[in-house]
Formats: sequence, C-alpha cells, structure tokens
Amino acid sequence: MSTRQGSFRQRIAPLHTWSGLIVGWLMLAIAVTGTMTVFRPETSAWMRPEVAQTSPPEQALRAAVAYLRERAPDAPGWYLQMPDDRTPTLQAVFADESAPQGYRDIALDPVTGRPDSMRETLGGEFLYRFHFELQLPYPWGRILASAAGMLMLITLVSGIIIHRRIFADFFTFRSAKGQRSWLDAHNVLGVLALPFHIMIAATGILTLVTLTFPWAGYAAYGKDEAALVADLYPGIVERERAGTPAPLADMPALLKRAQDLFDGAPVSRVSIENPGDAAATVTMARSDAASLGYGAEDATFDGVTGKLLKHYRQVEPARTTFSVLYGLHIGRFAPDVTRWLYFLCGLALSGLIATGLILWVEARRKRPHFGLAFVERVNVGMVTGLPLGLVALFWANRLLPPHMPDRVVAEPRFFFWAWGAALLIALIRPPRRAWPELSALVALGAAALPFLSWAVTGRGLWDALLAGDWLFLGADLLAFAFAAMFARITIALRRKGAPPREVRAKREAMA
Amino acid sequence: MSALASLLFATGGFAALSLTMTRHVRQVGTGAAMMPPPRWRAAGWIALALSLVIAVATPDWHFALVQWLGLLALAAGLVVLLLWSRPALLPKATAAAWVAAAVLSLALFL
Repeated sequence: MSTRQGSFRQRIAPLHTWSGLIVGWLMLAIAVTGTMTVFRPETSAWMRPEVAQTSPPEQALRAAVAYLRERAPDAPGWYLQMPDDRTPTLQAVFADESAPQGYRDIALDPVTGRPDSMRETLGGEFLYRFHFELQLPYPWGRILASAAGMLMLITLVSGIIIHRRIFADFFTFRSAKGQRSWLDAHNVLGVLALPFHIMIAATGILTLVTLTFPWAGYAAYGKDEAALVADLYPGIVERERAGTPAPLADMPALLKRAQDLFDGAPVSRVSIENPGDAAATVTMARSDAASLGYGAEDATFDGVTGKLLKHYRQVEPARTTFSVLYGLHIGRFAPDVTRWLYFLCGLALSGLIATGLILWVEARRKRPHFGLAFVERVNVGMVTGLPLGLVALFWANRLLPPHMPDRVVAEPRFFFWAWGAALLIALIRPPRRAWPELSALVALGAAALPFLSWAVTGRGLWDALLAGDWLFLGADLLAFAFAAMFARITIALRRKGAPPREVRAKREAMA
Repeated sequence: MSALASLLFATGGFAALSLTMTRHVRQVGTGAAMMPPPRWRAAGWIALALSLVIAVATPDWHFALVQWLGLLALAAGLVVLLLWSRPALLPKATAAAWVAAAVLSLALFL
C-alpha cells in the first residue's frame, strides 16, 4: 500500500514542479495585483487626494446626472457607481467615440458632480483590471488569466499530494539552511492559508466561467443572445429608443423609492438607459456590501414618469450559489478584520508562488545550464519587479501633472516601465547582485513614498494621525512596512551574496 | 473584539498542539515540560474549538466562518514566527494567550 502511494506521489511531483513553473510568473502578477485589489476603493481614494468632502447619495447623484447631461447627452446609457463609506467619489461609465477604448470610465466629485477638481487617474481600477485582463485585448487576457487559475488549482492540489509531512511540518521553519529553508517557507505559506488558496483559485476560475465554458449557454439559448442576457440580468428592462426627447425624472426621488423597496439598504449602482429620451429607464441595484453574495436585488423605473417597471429579488438557489462563490472571491462583504485577513492571505499566496519559483532554481543548482540561469534571472525580475512597478505607479500618481493629456494611461505605463526595467536589470546583472540591488530599490521607493505624498498633497503621516484619517495613516504605515520588509530581504541577500567567511578571511590575509 | 478573542484562543491552541511534537519540544526546552503531551493536545483542541465558538457566536455567522479560517491562518503563522524567533517564550505566551482570550470572552458574553 505504502509503496504504491509513494510511487503515486513520485509520479505527481513533476506535475507540481512543471505546472508551477509554467504558471508561476503569470500567477505571481495575478496574485500581487489581486492582493492590492482587496483595497481597491481605498487605493482609488488615496490616488485622488483632492477629494476631501463627501456628500449624501441623493445630492451626489443629482450633481452627477447634471454633469452627464451636459457632457454626454447622446450616450446610449450612463452607468454610475454610487459613493459609499469606502469610496467618496462616484464612478461614471459612458460610451465616447473620442476615448481610446470607445468608452470613458471617470470619477466624479461627490459635491460638484464634475471630474475636473481631481487629478485624472484610474485609481485602483487599473490593478483590478490587470488582475484578470492582464492588459491584453478582450477576451484573451481573461482567457489567459482563467487558464492560469486552472493550472494554479492543479499546482495546489498536486502540492498537497506530494507534501509528505503536512502535519509533522505544520509549524516548521528552519532559517539559513539554503534549499531546506525555502522548502519550509513554501510549505508553511501554502499549508497555513490552504483554505484561502483553494477558495481563491477555484472561485477565481468561476468568475470567468461564462467566458471559458460558454457551451451551456449556447446549448440552452442558441444564438438568442438577448434572451440569455435577459435571463442573466433579470432586473433590467430593455426598451428601444423612442426618438422623442423627454426630461429625466427626479433622480433623488427615485433613489429614495429604491431604498424603500430594498428595506432601507443603500443603492450601489444606478444605470440610466436612453437618457433624455421618452423611452428612458433607470435601474437601481441594492448594495451588496452587507451580504456574502454578489448583486442580488434590482429595481427598474420608467426614466420619465418614474413608474416602477420591475422589482427583482434573487431567490433562485443556483444563482445564489454562484453569487455567493463570486462574492467570496471579491470579498466585498468583508468587514475590516476579514479584509485585512484577505490581504494577508493574498500576501501569503504571493509568497507561496515566489518561494516555489525560487525552489525550482535551488533544487537544480548542482547541474547548471542555460535554462536554469534564465529562470533564475527572470525570477529576480518578477519577484522584485512587481513591487517596484507598484511603487512606480504610486510615485507617478503623485508626480505627474494633474491635468496632463492622457494622464489615465500615462500612470499605468510607469508600472510597466519599472517592472520591465527590473526584468532587464535582472537579465543583465548576475543574480547575486541583482537580488539585493533591486530589493533595495523597492525598499527605498516605498520608504520615500509617504514623504513624497506629504510634499505633494500636504497630507502627511502626522496630520493623518491627528485627524484620524485612517486612509492616509494606513497607506503610509503599509508603505513603511513594505520598505522594512524589503530592507530586511536586502540585508539577508547581501550577506548571502557576499563570499563565505573563510574566503573573505583568506582574501584579507593576502592583502 | 470577538475576532481578537478568537485569534488569541486559536494562537494558544496551535501553540499547545506544537508542544506535542518532538521537534518543537526540543526547540522550546524546559518550559514544554509544564504539562505532559496528551494534556497539551487536549488543551490545544479545546482552545481551537473555543476559538470557533467565539468566532461564530454572532447573527452574521456565515461571514464569521470565512473570517475564522483567516484567523486560523494568522494564528498558525504567529506560532511559526514565535518558534522561529523566540522558542523559549512559547509556553508562557500560550498561557498568556489563553488568559487574555478567556478574560476577553467573559467580558464580551457576560
């Protein structure tokens, strides 16, 4: 029995090793940006430091609609994300042919309803989008991310099978023992947060399942996409544009009525179809910030008369299961403590992938070859390049002129340039030099960020502390924490990179 | 607050369970002999069970269950860090975690 089990393990081991290597670099990027996305609203708010005021939802909605009426009167629809206690601004999406992707996605000031008081930035949206679209054209990024998720799940499951001593090594970490230490770290990071890792990989695949497994949809609906959409989003009422202009109903009044329908729960999204037309409709979605599932109740009104056209509350078990699994992945329900735990577990997952990649190299050191050297160097570039990219993104957010043209695309470029530069340096420099140099750069960049932000915005750590400004306080402290972590790594690597003590002693004796 | 009590119980529980394992007993030294291994084991499981009870004793138990899994990961991570950096402190830290968790829970539920 035990020999058969042993051989099964031995047969599974290469699967773990190679699926891990194939997907490792991509998965590291997905994990790091996903971890940041836990704080997507906070990232957005930090990246728009000009917004200091909030306003009640009715006023914010009134102001935003007034602005959209003048900015995009002919757009087929306006899609608004309402402010809440994590996000002071509204987010508006509407079609615009002059925009690079054909639509605009902009933040609006909750008081004035206008975008011009703030620096133009995608905020946390960029990292969120990159997490599953990888900056590739639709649908390729999503398909690649989904495939990476599936390989990741295979790597996790095979990792559990080949881990011989899950319980015996549960608490074991032995430092300064080379490959042994990397394996300990890899095991501990994997085993301790295993429920999270499995959940996040499985539910992550599920979020893109209609794209990767569309056949059930084809089988049931054939080419009738309208019927599919109507069944997928039952709260929406589709109406043809009438072509006769008509003024929009009073938005704050509709908002109030929707809230009453939702038992007083706030509204998170407002979709206005055919604005300014006699066939206008307004759909209000109940906020899911207080429930485990994702999006569960909608109310649609006639956009001119204000008559209630449809009130949909999700009760179907299959749909609820899907939305709970989706909700578990995005963790929007999470109260503060849970959110930080998501963040920590995300860091553990990033660390699991990074240590796995390093282990692949460490285990093969005795027989050096070109592939090994290549993997080792790319590892350096990825593990230090991603954090360096984040630092560059936040630096760019503070330093680029607030209203320069195409600022929204300029900011993310710094993320990619810094990441690319790290890869380039890692490919050129010997790894034992590149490791400490690049991680020192990350440490310096992160440590300087709070000071830079203070100089530019006037909102420093001390002011944040006095004002009880948790957003800036948290951001500054996190930056310092990461700086400290990378400084620690730099010191450890410099010690490791230096020649062994005997060699040094001999050299000194010779001199 | 109940999250903190739950975390302390889980940390104490994992620490106690680590003291049933030869490798960690050797790391910790004399303090591990405070109790024989079966008793550490029983205490560890009881503390983990209490950690679960305290975590989910709320109307929002389904959120709390998700949170508890995260707290378990954090608690085990803390034990790993302690065993790596200051193993000799582990038995005392375990006792302190239990006392703090018990006081907090009593304050919360009485």
